[in-house]
Order: sequence, then C-alpha cells, then structure tokens
Amino acid sequence: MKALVVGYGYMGQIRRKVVDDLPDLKLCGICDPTLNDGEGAGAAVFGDYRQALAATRPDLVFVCTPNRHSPDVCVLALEQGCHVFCEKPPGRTLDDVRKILDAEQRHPGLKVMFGFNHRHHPAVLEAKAIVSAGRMGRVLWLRGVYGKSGGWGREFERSWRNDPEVSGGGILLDQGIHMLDLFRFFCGDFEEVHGLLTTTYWNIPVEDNAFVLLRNRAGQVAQLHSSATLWKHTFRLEMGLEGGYLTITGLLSKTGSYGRETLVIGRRPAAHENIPVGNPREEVVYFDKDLSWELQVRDLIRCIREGCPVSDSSTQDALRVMELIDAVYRNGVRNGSRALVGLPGERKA
Amino acid sequence: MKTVVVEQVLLESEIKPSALLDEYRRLVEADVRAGLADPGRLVPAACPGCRAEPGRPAFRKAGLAYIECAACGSLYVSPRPGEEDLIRFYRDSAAARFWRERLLPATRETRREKMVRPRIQWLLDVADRHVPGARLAILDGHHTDLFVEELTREGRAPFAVVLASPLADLELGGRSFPDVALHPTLLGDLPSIGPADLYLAFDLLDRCPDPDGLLAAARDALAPGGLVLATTLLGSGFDVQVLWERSGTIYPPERMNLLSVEGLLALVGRHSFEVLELSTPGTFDVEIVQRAIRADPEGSWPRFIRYLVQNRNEGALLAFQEYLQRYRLSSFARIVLRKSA
Repeated sequence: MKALVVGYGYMGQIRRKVVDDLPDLKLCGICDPTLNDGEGAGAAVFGDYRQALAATRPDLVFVCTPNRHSPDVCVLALEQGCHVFCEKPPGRTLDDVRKILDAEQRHPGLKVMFGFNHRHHPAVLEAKAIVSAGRMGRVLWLRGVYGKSGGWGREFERSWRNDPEVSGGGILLDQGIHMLDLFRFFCGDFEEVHGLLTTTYWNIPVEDNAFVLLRNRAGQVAQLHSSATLWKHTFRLEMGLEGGYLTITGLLSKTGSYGRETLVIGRRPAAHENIPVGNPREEVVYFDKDLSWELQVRDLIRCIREGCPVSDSSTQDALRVMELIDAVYRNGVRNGSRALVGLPGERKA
Repeated sequence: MKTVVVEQVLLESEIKPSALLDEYRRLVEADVRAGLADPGRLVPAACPGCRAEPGRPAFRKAGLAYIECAACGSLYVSPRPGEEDLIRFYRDSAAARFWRERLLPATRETRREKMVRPRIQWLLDVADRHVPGARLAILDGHHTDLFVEELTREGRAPFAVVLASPLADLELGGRSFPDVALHPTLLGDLPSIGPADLYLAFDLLDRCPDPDGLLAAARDALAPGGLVLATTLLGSGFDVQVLWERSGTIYPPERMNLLSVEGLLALVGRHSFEVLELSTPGTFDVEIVQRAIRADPEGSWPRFIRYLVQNRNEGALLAFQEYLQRYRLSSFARIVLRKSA
C-alpha cells in the first residue's frame, strides 16, 4: 500500500518511521509546507496536500497536521479514495469530526482510524486484559492525571497548540483527550460531564489546567486532571475494581520523561487468605517496549485488507470523546466565570 | 518484554524450616554420592545457557562438579546424571521421600497461600492476556498436587490440564481432579500430548538434565501462539553470587542449571521463542545472605554486604530486595515465552 504522510512535525516523523518499518506500507511522499526539496530523507516532498494527493495517488494517508487542517485533509483524502489515519485530536471542534464522519459515510469502503495510541501501550493492554477477563469484578471508578511541563516560557506560549484559532483548545484537547479516550476504553460512554478549566500560570488564551468529572449510566465515575503545569511530566491512571485495583504510571516515550511504564496490580485478599485488609499483596509490572504506534497501524492495515470495520479508535470513538470535550468547553466552569454543567446533547447555547 | 516485582513478605524459613531443610540437605548429599555421582554414568555437558565450553571449574558439591561458564556466567553441573537416573532419584531416594513425607506436609498451607496461589494468578493473567480461550495446558515439573488443587478450587479448572511429570502419580497420591488427566512422560515424548496452549514448567529448568531438550519438546508440544510459563533459580541472582560455594541453595541434583539472565535469554533464543516476560520476583535473596552472615560472622564476606545486612533495618532490606527484583538481580526467575503463530 502506498502511504503519504501529511504534516512532518513531531508526529509526522513518528508516523513516517512506522511506515518505513512495516512491510505492508511503502512511503510515496511527505507533505509539509516548511520542508524544502531534499529534506524528506529520501522521500518525495510536497508543500501542498492537494498537490501531494494528486501526484502520489496514495492508498493510505497519515494526517499529522495541526488541528485546524486535519478535517480538510481527511475529507479530501477520503474524497480521493484514500484510507485515512488521522492524529488526535481529530480537529478543533465537534463539527470538525462530524465533517470527517460525513465524508467517511459517503465512502463506506474506506477505513478511518484516529491516533488514540495510548490504548495500545503495554500497561494499558495488560490492564484491559485483566478488566475484560472479569475476575477482578467491574470497574467502579477511574482517576487520571496526565500532564506536562510547558517548558521555559515564550516558546510554549507561542506554540500553535495554544492558539485557539489553530488548535481549538488547550491542554485538555491536546493531551487530556488521551485520558478521556482511555476512560471510554475501560468504561464505555459517559453521559454526565462536569468540567472546570483554568489558566493558572501560562500567558495563553486557552486552559493550562482542566478538571473533568464524568459519570455514566452504570454509575462508574471518572475524574481527570489534565495539566500543562505539571513540572514533572506525569501519566497516572488509577482504576478501582470490585476485587482490587490497577494503577498505571509512567509512559514509554521517546524521551522517557514520563518515567518507566508500570502497572500495579493489587487484589483484595479473599476471606480465607491470611493477608491484612488494606495492605494487599501487589505486583508491579514494568514494561520495556512501546509498540503502540505500530500495533495501531497494523490493526488499520488488517481492517483494510480484510474489509472489516474499524472497531478501535474509530470515527465514532473520536466523535464520542470530542463530545465530552465539547461539553466541558461549552458548559464547564472557566476561570470561575461560569458555573454550568450539562450533558452532551443538552448543551446550553 | 516485561518485568514483574512482587511485594509480599515471605521468609524462606516459612516454606523451608531450617531444621527440616538441614536434614533434607544431609539426605540429598548422601543419596547423590551413593546413587548419582557414579562417574561411569555421568554425561559431559556444555553451558546450558550459551552452549560455550569448556567453562571454569567453580566448586564441587556431593561429589559433582559445578562449572562457571566463561561466556555467560551460568553455573552448571558437568558431567551430570541423565534423565532416567534423575527420575529414579526423585521417586525412590530417601531424600525425595523425606521431602514428600516430612518437609512438604509441614509447609503445605504456607506454600499454597504464598507460592501456589500467586502462580495461579500469574497463569490466569497471562492466559487472559495472550491466549484467551486456552483449552489445554500441560503441567510439568515438581510439586504439582497443590497446584492442581488450587486450580480446581472453584470446582473445575479453567482449561483441561495434562500432568506430564514422571512424578505426578506419586504427588497426587491416587487422588483425581476434574479436567485433570495424568500422563507421565519422558521429555522426548512430550509433543505427543499436544498441541497445547500452555506448557507450565515450574521449578524445572534448573533441575532438568537437558534444558535445550526441554524447550525443544515444549515448542513441539505447543500450538502456534502457545506459551511456556517457567520458573527457575538463576546463578546471576544476589544470594548465589554473594554466597557462591557457601550457598545452601546450590545442591545437586535440584540445582544443576543455575543460568545467568544472559544465559537464560541465550537458551530461549535458540528455540525462537518470543520472550513476553522475564522477571526475578524472588523474595529470599537478602534474607538468605543475612542468615549466612549471621551464622558465620567472622567469615570472609564482601564488606559492603556485611555492613548492609548488619546495620540496616527490615525496611531497608525489603527495599533492597525490591531493587533486586526490579533489575532482574534476584535468584528466582519466572519467564513467559511465546511460540510464533
């Protein structure tokens, strides 16, 4: 399959490596307006995605552009008969995702997947297997912290990620979206959404901290703190289950700044076991290798080859998680100026 | 590959009371000298880890020579007794009877709670993750009865189990369990039981006369994508490295292959398994070294190790044990291998 990478920043370069590593894919070009000829490390370089699509006629397009451009690139790629892998977030707004969904529905033979790669991190896969097996009972609650240090100042404040015209939102949309997606991955949809957005430190027009509280019809509650002022990069997802708890900390990444990816498994002792209540035996699992980027794309290739629907990180997944974010952005408390809560689909004007 | 650290307080003396263990080791030494150390029946062996030979003589125990591999650091017995002599030893020797009739019954409930149940949890977690819907497991190795009791605790096993150990009939003592079949077999016949989804070799790699043969047979007995779950003692672990020939843990024939982590990886690499997990979740290393130093305070010990175990409290020693686990430096290892699909 011929693959085109559109957008060659941090994520585009990661995706290009995946393309190079997978024998099913052959890179036919990269597109980024900041690149000059010869800067594609052996790949044909284009400055405009329309031109790139026309010239290379790819089978699969990786959309790794800033959020403002993602929907247009996705829609055009679909209109030209290409399968699409789009980075998260899937756009700036809920309407952006709906545009992609409309285009996908017009081309039911084409596959669309979004870059919710955290689902494929080894600790998450391990935790998912434990939850799905059901021997620890059902999930009662989730608590997630995901955050980063913005950096030293102006560079972070000037980033397109903090320009609402380009990004559509702040840290919640940029990074917190992964944790919200994981909440859905473990518990399904959430109907009740409460949010609080603050800009506590950085001089930016979007939130640098978001606090989100969710509840679904099954009574499962999830709580997120998404932050751009965690001076130590942090990923932490705790799950309380009927029969114990699971805690994922750290995240395998290129720089290792989130710490070693770890899953703690604690099981409530049974009555017949001679183990003190409140201090159960724990297992700590350390992971050495992150295959999430590759696993996700392999799954998309499988869907394309076998003609089966995308069931993981699909457009529906993107839509649902953007509904949660949209609810927080529309109805949540922002810097103390608004105190409304609401449900997706029942938003205030 | 992943690494697992287990946080639980368990003393070696809880599963091996020292008076009983001393008597057991005395019997083992006598039985090995009398029945297994006949030079005419011993077979030379290369390093079971990396296959390098010859290694450096390390020390002798019960008349058998331990060799240290110069390439991968594994410690192994060579020349060594063969499979049938070992089976005879484990069935009929006074030491083996003492283990079955005295030592095991005295520690049975502690073993059940702190060793067997966690192993079953491990097995079920790994099966859920990698072979959901597993239908058949081959259980090999020693001390299988408690494992079978716990696996069938809820009334039935989560998958059919075939007991392949040549000692299983003795260990089960005539009892039968739902979904569990008895099929004692020599290593070479193992593939005839498969294809299985799981091959469970607890405490077997270290005492097996032919680890290469074991993994080759396991591979042939497994269905594509099937898993090996194995536990073993390692020669690269803390207590073995510190105590070396003074280690009470090292005695033939139970500890014939004390592979280093590197040697273990070389061994499994030869059989084209994918390593899903390699952990050293041992809990005894520091305790074993501490007891050895207490028993011989004037002995020649590494100065820092002596200082550590004599001058730091239980919390510090537990943290040190956890460090050993975290960096694969404990002498007890568990490993999960996957046969390619």
